[in-house]
Amino acid sequence: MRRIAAKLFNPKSDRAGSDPRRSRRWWKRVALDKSAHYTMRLLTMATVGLVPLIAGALLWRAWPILATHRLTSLLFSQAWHPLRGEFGFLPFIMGTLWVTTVAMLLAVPPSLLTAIYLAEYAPVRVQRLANPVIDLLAGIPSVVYGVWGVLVIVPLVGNQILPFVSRHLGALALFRTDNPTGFGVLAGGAVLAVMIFPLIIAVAQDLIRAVPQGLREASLSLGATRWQTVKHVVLRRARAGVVAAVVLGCSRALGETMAVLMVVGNVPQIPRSIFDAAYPLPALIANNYGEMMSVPLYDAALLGSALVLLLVVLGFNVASRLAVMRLVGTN
Amino acid sequence: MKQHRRRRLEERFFLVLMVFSTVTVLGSLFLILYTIIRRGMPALSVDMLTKVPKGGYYLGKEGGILNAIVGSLYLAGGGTLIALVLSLPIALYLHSHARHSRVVHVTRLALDVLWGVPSIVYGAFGFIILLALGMRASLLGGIIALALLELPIMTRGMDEAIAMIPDALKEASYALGATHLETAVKVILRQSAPALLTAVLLAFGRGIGDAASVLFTAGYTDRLPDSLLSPAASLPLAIFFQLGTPFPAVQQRAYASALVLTVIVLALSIAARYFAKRLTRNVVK
Amino acid sequence: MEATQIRIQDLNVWYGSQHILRNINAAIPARGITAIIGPSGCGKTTLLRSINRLLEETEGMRVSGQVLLGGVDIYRPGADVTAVRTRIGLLAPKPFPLPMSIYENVAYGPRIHGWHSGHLYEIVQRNLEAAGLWDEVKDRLRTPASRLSTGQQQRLCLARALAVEPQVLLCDEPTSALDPISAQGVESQLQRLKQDHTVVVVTHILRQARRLADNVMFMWLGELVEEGTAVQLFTSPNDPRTKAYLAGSIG
Ligand SMILES: Nc1ncnc2c1ncn2[C@@H]1O[C@H](COP(=O)(O)OP(=O)(O)OP(=O)(O)O)[C@@H](O)[C@H]1O
Ligand SMILES: [Mg+2]
Repeated sequence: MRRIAAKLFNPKSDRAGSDPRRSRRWWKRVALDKSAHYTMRLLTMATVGLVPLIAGALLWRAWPILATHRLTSLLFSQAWHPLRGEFGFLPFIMGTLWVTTVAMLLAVPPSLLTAIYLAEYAPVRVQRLANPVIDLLAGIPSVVYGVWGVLVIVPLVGNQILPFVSRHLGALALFRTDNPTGFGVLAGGAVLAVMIFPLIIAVAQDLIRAVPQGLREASLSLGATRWQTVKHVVLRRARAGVVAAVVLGCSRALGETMAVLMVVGNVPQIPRSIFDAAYPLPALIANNYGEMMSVPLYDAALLGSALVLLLVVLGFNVASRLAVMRLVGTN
Repeated sequence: MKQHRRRRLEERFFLVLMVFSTVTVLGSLFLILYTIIRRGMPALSVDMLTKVPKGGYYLGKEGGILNAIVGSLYLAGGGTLIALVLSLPIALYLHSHARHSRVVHVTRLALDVLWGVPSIVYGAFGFIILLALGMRASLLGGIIALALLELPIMTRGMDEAIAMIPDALKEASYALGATHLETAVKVILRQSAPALLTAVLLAFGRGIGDAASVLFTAGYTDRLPDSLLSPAASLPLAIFFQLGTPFPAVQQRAYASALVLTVIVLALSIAARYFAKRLTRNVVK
Repeated sequence: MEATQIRIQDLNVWYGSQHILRNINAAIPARGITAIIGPSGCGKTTLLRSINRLLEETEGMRVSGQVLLGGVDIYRPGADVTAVRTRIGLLAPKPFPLPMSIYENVAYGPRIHGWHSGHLYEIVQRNLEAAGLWDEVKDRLRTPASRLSTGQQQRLCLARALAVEPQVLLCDEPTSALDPISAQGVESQLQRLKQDHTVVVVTHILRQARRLADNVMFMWLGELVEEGTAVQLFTSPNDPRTKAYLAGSIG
């Protein structure tokens, strides 16, 4: 600390007995500070304005199609014939919902159980080993997840799960399909699930840890088992946080592009079963980049769907962040 | 007594489920690494790393992915540089001038929201910028998209790193009459330097691995990028395109490229962790 | 004095390489109030938490030795921790109301043990009365417990602890977070409880120990220096350290 003090002030000026408040040096320091302040503030404001800017730009480019087509027909029509000027997004919206739902069903239970285990049960040694590994999992690029999905998940679905399930549960529409490839909703959901494990685990774990130790001990000293304590006290207290973690994971799943695109089949249809191929919105945008400038209104349609995606993801995100803020505020 | 046995059973049951889940999650990382190494190793060669694609590369003929490796380094390097120039002042601002003001909350919320924006949206936004400027897909376009993608990651990382510095240290500096700026640069920056580097490395890792944002903005080419305005290849897209060909030999190369990308990203991630650890040793308590 | 309720034999506690409790041997008689006194950091809380095995919730704490409850070692292999903690309750220095209503807080213990055979309401009422809180909350049993004042919360925690019918009640500075009036309230409830419970109270306040205690244990740097009846220990302490502490010259 003293070293810093020595560097901040030239001791000579003090010795000279001059009032540092009046010196030229002081004015220079203040001026520098002021200008830095304004620069930083400008940058910060620009960042805050970035979200509306992105939304505005997308709206601007999507306007041609919004002006010529009714919103209900865009959102609820199945007819997707860009060359004929028909842009019905329903198959893609449904594709997104199917894949995201399957991903959440597969991801949420193991993620939450892992978060609870690491925060409440695991010895410190295990935590120190597991958490970095989970962080590494979070860092893997989505194309690599895609490659892994093509190499492992798709054959697994196509060769093992599909034959098994259709033999035993084939009577249910949810499991009936004429797509034997393995590329489809289930593969996309499974790859996505693995991708959002780390996110849900990290957020949920943080918020579970934020529950005061005294609460756990209060429950334990009444003779509750650890699981009873977790179930009735810890999770109850961290409820909003757990919801926030799940919502955050969901918003990540909704917007994920490359990995899903590589395993989901990309057929513009409304999926009827978890083995059907699907075509989620992000995949639609990414796949048609090449041709979108040559067909009238096509680029407006795709950027419009990017806008829809952005708004949905934003809604989820803001809700989750606000929940966390409220929770942390009350703790 | 029956109740007693029941809750013991419940405890057991959930513990088994939890351990099973944890093993599944950790196992999935190892399975991914195993798969990528196992399938990527055979096709990996010196040529792959040191040559650009020759004619017929995508049919299985000679060449490598040097164009993509170099392109990715340029793209992510440029994006990281711009993001750094923007995010360092913002992160410092949140902890010096703007401390205790409402701006901090709003900015953090905005950053968190930006953090959640899908990369395909950044790609689309970058594409619109290019259109508005009358430019084509180029190295510069990719850099802009990646800078936007990395900005919230880096700023939040720095924000959290700086938050670890004890308040007392900053206050001691103010108490000595230092201005906000002097405190920011001489105390905050110095104290948190290793952790700031962590944030930079993590953002770089995210940038180099992202495909959707460079898809529209950087284009793809078999040549090495020679100017900011020419298109640039990137590793994620190289993987994507090679995997999309119908030739097994080229798909093999996609696996090898995935291995290269994974190694780069994991190395960055581990280096980041190393610097984050150093922080705790250097901070004056 | 009646029979010994808790016997502590060669109890040692380490935290890493730090030796926190050294060779504690003590006998806590059944019924009545035993006060544990001693300077800050001497291990009072640690001793208390080792008596209901809550200590093992702190990672890194190692315990050796025996704590016998009614002649049976609570640390014996295969002992059921939840049964130990049900019989030996603990009141923390700060109240921690569970994130649920006042009623649910008191009902929590009986519920998790599966005792809810219809008369849960009576259990809640009886224990809130025993903690001296019933009249203040009987009209708002369904409101969240966190809305109570700190003093009320502490009495709620007392009621909650009593609802699982422990034989022993450990209190760690139960009045340290309270104002004098609330503190007096808690003290008088403890006086009543000692009729049919064994109460152990850790306190910093010597006058509180004098008011409440039938027996006193004096600790110093992780050791149990002296134990005896309140009268004996306060009027004619044997150990010079006890003398000095009571005179206010150390600790
Ligand atoms: N969770 C813990 N981690 C590390 N050390 C601990 C922990 N709990 C207690 N200790 C150490 O054990 C010793 C005894 O602590 P304890 O809390 O039992 O003291 P105490 O007599 O209750 O003090 P006080 O009167 O201040 O409450 C102290 O030296 C303390 O540093
Ligand atoms: Mg204590």
